[in-house]
Amino acid sequence: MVKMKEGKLRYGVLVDIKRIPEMGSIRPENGVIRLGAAVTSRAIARSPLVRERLPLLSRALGLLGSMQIGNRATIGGNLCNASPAADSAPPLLVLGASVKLIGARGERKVPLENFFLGPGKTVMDREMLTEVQVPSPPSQGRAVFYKLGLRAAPEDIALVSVALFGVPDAGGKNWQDLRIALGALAPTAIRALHAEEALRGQPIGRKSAEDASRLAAEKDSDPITDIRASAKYRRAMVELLVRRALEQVTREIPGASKL
Amino acid sequence: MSEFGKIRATINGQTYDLSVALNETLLELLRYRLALTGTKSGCETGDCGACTVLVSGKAVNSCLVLAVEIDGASVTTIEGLSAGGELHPLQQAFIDHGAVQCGFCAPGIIMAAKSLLDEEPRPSEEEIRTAIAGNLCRCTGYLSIVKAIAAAAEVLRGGDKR
Repeated sequence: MVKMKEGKLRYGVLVDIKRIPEMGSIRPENGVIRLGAAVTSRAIARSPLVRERLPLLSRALGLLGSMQIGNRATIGGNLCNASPAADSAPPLLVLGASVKLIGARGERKVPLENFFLGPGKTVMDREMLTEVQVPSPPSQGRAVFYKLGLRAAPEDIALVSVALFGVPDAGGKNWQDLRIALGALAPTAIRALHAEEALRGQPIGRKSAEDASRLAAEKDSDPITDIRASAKYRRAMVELLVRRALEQVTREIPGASKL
Repeated sequence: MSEFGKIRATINGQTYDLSVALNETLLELLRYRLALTGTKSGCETGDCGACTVLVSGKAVNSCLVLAVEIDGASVTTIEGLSAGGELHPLQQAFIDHGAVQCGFCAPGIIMAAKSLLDEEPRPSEEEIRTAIAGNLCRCTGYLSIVKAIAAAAEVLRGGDKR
């Protein structure tokens, strides 16, 4: 709407898909939560099912924008708009989500990590995003989402965002699996693969956290300098936030060794 | 010249059958078709919240809603809060606590507060500040607004705080 009012987008015809029933539902099915593309970010954040099964997503979407924006912004819209700073993207990447696309050629399911091509660009080709499918994460894992904004209210656009999901091994001493996703640090939301690799199988502790957060800043991030922040500041912040995220997740894991 | 669509909507309790331009916003419909000028036009981009109204009970920026989208819905504007000429406790609390200076942000911020109190009758200060994070005020510094909302919440819960 904003871009249309500014004349940046012009359409002869617009079709409102928000009232199609399947687009507006949140359904659990065989361990997967199916989110209709037209469900609003606020409705997802406040859904008892999402709060219980996907608390990471609930928290992130609660910070997506003001109450007024959250009551209109949809999860499909947030993904299709494909801003590198989109708040739904890092949590959904970390949770291993997929999107269902429907077009003239039929239906296809695309893992979210293959969905974004660049700022404002996705793999959609005359298609419509109808659903986001999120598998339930392993119960022994813990997740955290941090969003750094310009003012105290985090509802403004992210300068840097970090979603992290950590699973300790059975003994609680090493990381069995780590998934980290970064927002506003690259042309698209990304998984921090170098940081993840530096943690997998490593002892939970200060050394691995420092190594990983440095890699997230130096190898995984590719930030730009824009009106909101410099690239240098963004790199400094992502290093700090990844380390804090690891500290927080560690604190929440019962019996894990302390950082 | 844009085309028109027919909608039926209930606004402040009254049902209207309207013919609206397809590219008309809800804000334009309220202010220019229905002369409900309590709702203000500020930034027109969803940042300031001056245009906040409730659509089917949910606070939205009416500058970003197309008029055709409210077909079949109910809308409440600031005018709808003082039914029968009596001020809503939120409006009275804003007056009592000095939360209105120039008044431009007031209708939008009161509608956001109404939406909060409809969902959460006992909000903490943090919940109040989060609920009004989408409304900008240049005059008050927000403190009197937060106090007014907390006071109104207590009145609505059955207490009487002046």
